[in-house]
Order: sequence, then C-alpha cells, then structure tokens
Amino acid sequence: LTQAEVNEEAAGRVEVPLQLDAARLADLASIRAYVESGARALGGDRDCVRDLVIAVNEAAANVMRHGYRGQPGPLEIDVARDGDSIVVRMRDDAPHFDPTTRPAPDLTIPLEHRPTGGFGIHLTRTCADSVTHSAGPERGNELTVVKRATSSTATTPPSSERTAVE
Amino acid sequence: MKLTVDRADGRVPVTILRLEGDLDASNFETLIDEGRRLHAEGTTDLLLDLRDVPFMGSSGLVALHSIALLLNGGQADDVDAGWESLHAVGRSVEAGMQPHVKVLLTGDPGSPLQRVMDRTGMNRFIEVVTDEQQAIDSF
Repeated sequence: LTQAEVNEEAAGRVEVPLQLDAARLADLASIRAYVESGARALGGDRDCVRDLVIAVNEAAANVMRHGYRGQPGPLEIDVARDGDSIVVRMRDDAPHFDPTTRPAPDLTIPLEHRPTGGFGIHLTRTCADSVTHSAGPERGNELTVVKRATSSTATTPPSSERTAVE
Repeated sequence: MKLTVDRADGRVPVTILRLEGDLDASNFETLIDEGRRLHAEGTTDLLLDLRDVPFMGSSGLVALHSIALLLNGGQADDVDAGWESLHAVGRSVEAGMQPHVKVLLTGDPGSPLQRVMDRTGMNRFIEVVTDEQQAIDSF
C-alpha cells in the first residue's frame, strides 16, 4: 500500500473509546497506551504518535491534578482519523477550564514580564497541530487534540516542487 | 518505576541513579525523595540514567529540576505549589547550565524524553549526554 492508500483506508475510522469512571494519576499509563495504539492503528507515524502521547498525557494529568483536584473523576478519550490527521478527544466532568487560553511560558523574556502558564499545557500545545476546547452546559470540558498523521504525505509534493508551482 | 544506585569515580566521585519505567505525575515524587536521600548521604555529582525510561511528562521535569536545585545548594521545588514550581523551572533555565546533575539518554534525537527536554528548554539547565563514561569523566 502507498501512504495515500493507507491514509484513504484509515480515514474516518474511530477507535473504541477509553472510558474511565474514576480516573486517577495511576491511569496515565493506560491512557498513553490507548493513544499510542489507537494513533498507530489509524496510520500515525512515529513522530505523530510520540507527540500525541505527550500532548494527551499532559492534558489528562492536568484534569486529574487540577480539574478534579486529585480526586477520582470520569474521563473519556477516543482517537479518530480525519483526513490526513489523527484526532484525540478527551471529555471530563470537571469545572470549566480552557487550557488553550493560557499564555505559553516564554523562556526568552524576563520572569517578571512573563505571563502565567505551565509546561504541561505548553507541551500539549507544542506537540499538537491544534488544540481546541469546548465547555459543557454547567461543567465538563471537551479537549480536541489534532496532529497530522505523517510528517510528509504522498499528496504533498516536495517543497522544491511547491516553490516551482508557486 | 524502579530505581538503582551505582557509584563511579571520574575526576570526582559520581553517583549514578538508574531509572526503569515511565516517569509521570503518578510517581515523580518518588524520584525527588530519592534525590533528597542521596543528597543527605553526601552525593555532590549525580548522573541520572534515563535510558530505560520510555516516557517522561512535565512532572518528570519538576523532579529533575528539584534534584538539580538540591545538588547546587538550593531547595527542592514545592510540588504542592503547582504551576509555581514549573515557573521556577523557567527561572533556572534563564540562569544557565548547572554543573552537578546530568541526564543520560539514548542517542535517539526524537525520543519522547529528548522532545520534552528540548521543547521546554530544560536541556539548557541540565546537560543531556548519551555516553556514560564520557558523562562520568565530565563532572
């Protein structure tokens, strides 16, 4: 199979969701294993899978430590293929919190001028192509993490050809 | 996560702390406690062998940072301080490379640990090495 055929075959597929009724920090390893196997099964290459695992681990740890304040709470995660991308959705029942609005820590500016924010969220955002948040009606959050499945695809010409066309 | 302690002699005595297993928010405090114990026992230079750690999250960074602070004459991060301890990581990155704690990784530049070290700038505070003997001799 060519990469394009692999992409076409995987498009639209969804892995069975991982449902945790009482997620706790000890479940992070299971969450990483689920994201790794799901993203790989849907055609994610090594870089894509590694970055998604880092991104989702940080997001999930953030929900457990801060959203649920260390107490067990429900968490549901699924992995899907959408065109050239792998999409991970994570739903919780914690108070509303939108990590996408937190400024990233900028190590190049002095501390006193640096906005608040953490490395966990920073890692989630830098490892993903996009991270979006939607809030439930009264509480609960859905975080969608998207990463391109392959660093280069058969449908994307080399940069030199793109330059020639442009 | 399994921890093993070895000793080696370079130009100075070096303690080697070897980890096996993932390092994440569920167990990073165990590593900080071990760092405290080694510091109390007199360790001054520490090589953290993370070649058998398949995954490390930002909590692992807090542990590495805490141990580096301890061995450089400071206090460990307050892990209950949440984001504040991560802000302290940023301050140390600004301060530059410290000499007493180094991290031994595999030579895979795309490994999860290398990615986390690179993307947070922690590799500007804690030196990353890939050869054990060269690392021992470099303290």
